[in-house]
Amino acid sequence: MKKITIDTSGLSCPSPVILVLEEIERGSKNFEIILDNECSCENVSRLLNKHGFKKEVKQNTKETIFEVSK
Amino acid sequence: MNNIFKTQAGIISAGAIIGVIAALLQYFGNPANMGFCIACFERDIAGALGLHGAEVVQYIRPEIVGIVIGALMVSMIKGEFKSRGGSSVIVRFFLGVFAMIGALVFLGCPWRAFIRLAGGDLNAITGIVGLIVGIGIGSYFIKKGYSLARNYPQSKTVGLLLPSLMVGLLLLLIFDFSKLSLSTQGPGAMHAPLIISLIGGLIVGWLAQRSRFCTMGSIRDIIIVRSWHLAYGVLAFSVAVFILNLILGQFNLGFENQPIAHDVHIWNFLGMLLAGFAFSLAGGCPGRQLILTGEGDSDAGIFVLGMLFGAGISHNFAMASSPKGIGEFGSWGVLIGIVFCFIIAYTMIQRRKS
Repeated sequence: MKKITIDTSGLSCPSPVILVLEEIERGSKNFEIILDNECSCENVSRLLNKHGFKKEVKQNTKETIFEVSK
Repeated sequence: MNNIFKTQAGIISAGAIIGVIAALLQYFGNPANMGFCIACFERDIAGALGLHGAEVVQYIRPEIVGIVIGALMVSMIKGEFKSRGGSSVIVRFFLGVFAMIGALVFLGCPWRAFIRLAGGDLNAITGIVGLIVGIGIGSYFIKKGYSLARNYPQSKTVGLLLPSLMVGLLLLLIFDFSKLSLSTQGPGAMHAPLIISLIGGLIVGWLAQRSRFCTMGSIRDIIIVRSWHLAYGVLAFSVAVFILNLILGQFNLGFENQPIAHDVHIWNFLGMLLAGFAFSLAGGCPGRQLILTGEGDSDAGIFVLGMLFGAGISHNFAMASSPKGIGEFGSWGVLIGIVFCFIIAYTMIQRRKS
């Protein structure tokens, strides 16, 4: 199965949080999130923690990628 | 990721320090229950630039300059300054215009709503309830898929434009430019010494950037994601102002004779409903928009310019309130603004694949 990617680049909060929340509500357990600003990273991290998800963080020059799993 | 202010203790301490600074600025000369009010201060700047002719509310508030520059400095140091823009620009402008019209019917931005309450002004309660309802309506549309769409990276110059304008405004004040309109009486003539206002603004800008302090966001996050994180900051802010007000003898409980406030409850409610609705559609309260402006977000800068324009027409068209009550056309401004926000919210719901 192809991995679901949520690309939040260029979106400001709360949009990234809403997109991730919708994915969680759909019952997804594994997905990746592309984020391009620190504030969204913090907000999305808090949401993931709250819902008991684990994440692996990859950083490149332009963006941060969260590999999320439960 | 070394940001101590992103923790719960961080947002609480940032909120509390911002509250202490607000109460102290009032002690040092800012108008009563107006240690910090983004809407009022931007309105004063609009007046100083001659965008409106209300002679009692004209001053270049160094706090506004300080917030933007404080956020600019810390975001540069921390590598978070990112020049960006291009997300529904003109919509943001009009959201700023109507947010200001609503805020000036109530007489305060959300920061001042909490400051007024912490100073004992019970008229603030209807305003805060209106704010919550407005943010609730906005949150409903956000959950439905409302979005202003993506922004794009821009040249560094673009992100530095609004901060440069702020520095320019400060220079006009420092060199006492003869064409500025500056109040000689009324709230516009009441201000803390320039250097204290500026330093206060810089510290607030710094702390709010690190902690992401946002009054609108605090209520929205409770509604949408059941997160109280930002709300702890706003609570700490309000409690700090309240305690300092008691210590400094600035507390006065009641509905009547409250400074720069009126007791027309329905319009306090509806004015703030409009403001809260517009802030939630724009993604931040006026304070947060200044912080984002400092971080290089030119879309937030457009919202700020919208608020300046809104302040101009609010006073020129008799929509702004005064301690005597609401302006002749204030109700029209609020109602048109609410209709505008509903149209924007409804028509800008993005379709998503299910």
